[in-house]
Amino acid sequence: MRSFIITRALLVVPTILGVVTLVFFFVHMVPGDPVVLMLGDYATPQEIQSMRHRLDLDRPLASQYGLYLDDLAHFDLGTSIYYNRPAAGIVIERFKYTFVLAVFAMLLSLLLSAPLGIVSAYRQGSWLDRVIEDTSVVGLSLPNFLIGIVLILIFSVKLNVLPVAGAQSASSIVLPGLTLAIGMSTITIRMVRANMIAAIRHESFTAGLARGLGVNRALFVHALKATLIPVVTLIGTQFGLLLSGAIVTETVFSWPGIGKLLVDSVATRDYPLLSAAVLVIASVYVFVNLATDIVYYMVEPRMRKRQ
Amino acid sequence: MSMALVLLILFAGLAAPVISPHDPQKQVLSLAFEGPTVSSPMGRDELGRDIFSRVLYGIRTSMLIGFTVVIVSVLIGVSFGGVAGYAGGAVDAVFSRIIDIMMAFPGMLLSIGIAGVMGPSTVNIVIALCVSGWVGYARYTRAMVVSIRQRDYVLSAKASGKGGAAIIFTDIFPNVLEPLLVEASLGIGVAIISEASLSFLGLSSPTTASLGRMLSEAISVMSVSPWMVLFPGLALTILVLLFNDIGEGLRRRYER
Repeated sequence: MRSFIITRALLVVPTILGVVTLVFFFVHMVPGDPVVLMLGDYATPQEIQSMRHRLDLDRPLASQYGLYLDDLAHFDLGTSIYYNRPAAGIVIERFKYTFVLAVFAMLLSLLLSAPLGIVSAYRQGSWLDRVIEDTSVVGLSLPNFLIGIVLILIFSVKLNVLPVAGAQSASSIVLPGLTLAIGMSTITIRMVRANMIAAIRHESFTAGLARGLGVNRALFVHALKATLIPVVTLIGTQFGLLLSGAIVTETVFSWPGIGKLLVDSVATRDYPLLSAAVLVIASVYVFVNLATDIVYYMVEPRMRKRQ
Repeated sequence: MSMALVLLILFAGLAAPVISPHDPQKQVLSLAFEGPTVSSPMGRDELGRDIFSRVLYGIRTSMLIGFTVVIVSVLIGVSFGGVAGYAGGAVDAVFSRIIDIMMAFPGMLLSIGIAGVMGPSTVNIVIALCVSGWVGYARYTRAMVVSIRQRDYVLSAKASGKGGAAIIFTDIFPNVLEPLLVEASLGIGVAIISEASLSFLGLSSPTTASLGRMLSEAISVMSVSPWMVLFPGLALTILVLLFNDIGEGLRRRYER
């Protein structure tokens, strides 16, 4: 078991190095001169020269790459042009918001999909099962921002009960959280349903009923327990979906997370900040995948035998 | 059913320049925010542009980008994954590592980053979506080829002295083609959603009508003119739903 974890963890090293290399080339993909684009048309040659020097762009490519790696080893993600301070600090500040939103959306999605998945598994083939299935198929075809827009129309424009944008009050998280949760639930409902059907067909479920357990208790306590572990670990694999969904959703609701930061840095042509944001999102994703793999390995004894 | 509707929409998209009642870019400021009328059945937007014409052109953009991205991604992914799977050994190790690195970017992140630095244009959106799109097909093809390579009919073809290229094209490729077609048809829906998301974020060319861009322009004014959200939103949903339906249909037929 330890050897699996070590091998899996070591595989992260070349992946992260590859990600870093790709992100390093971002600024070199800018058509034309990135410095001129960042500073605008009114920049003097001196300003352009000093900015080029500040970003190390006046050095040969190999030495630029070496300096970039060296900076990263010291947790230096470059300096934001727009905010004129270290990108690492900005990214961490904003990431807290994304983290809170992501956890809230995950919990909300479990609260939505567990009961719906259980009902459609228990009443398999009923009209309710089919309605839930059809709705999740439609939901799967909706881009995140469209779900967000529809929620704004209902809750803010028509009912006027929830704030549309920003993060000033606690209720601000509800709409972006719900948007992400609905997007995730289209998949989690199917997962819960499939796992619950297996649990209901298992003889322990029938035995529990025969022992005098109520249907609700057998369903919501015993069968759900057997379902929860695979579902929770599978949700980990959905984290990437959540992160990229967050980029768009945060923009719709002006939620000040890292996704909004990324999109804003595109608009302000703040390439160092953009690179830092991409690098951090990708790294978090790599480590969450690592954690998911290890947890999955630990809770699923069949995986261990295969080695 | 879906197929017929897709053909109809495909026609509507391709024929947009002929059948759209107005120029999608023409601004008539005096008619801004006008509700649905006979001459513009979906109303007009904040600059007085005809929404019906813009939806038609938007569908055209979605379909053009969706198909281009999937075709290019499949071509790159199949060659990359095919080579990795068939060659095996060190080549496979290096190629698989590259696939892993590309998979380390969640969904749209790489596309947003690339389209972001390259600037807003239709070509850049296609490039950005292909850069992240080919990886899935490469991984899929590689896995298929690795499992097929060990089958008896491939081994016997090899033993009878058949060359590598001949084996790839006559023995392996036909067996990969069908499941790949299923993946690709589902990929069109994904590509259309991704294009809409990128243009929603303002990464598409401002002079090209696209459903995502229309929706982002509609957000701030939707309490005054909900039809600016309604029609492009519906068009986008129906478009993706139809392609997903066709993909699911193909999948069921293949799995049977």
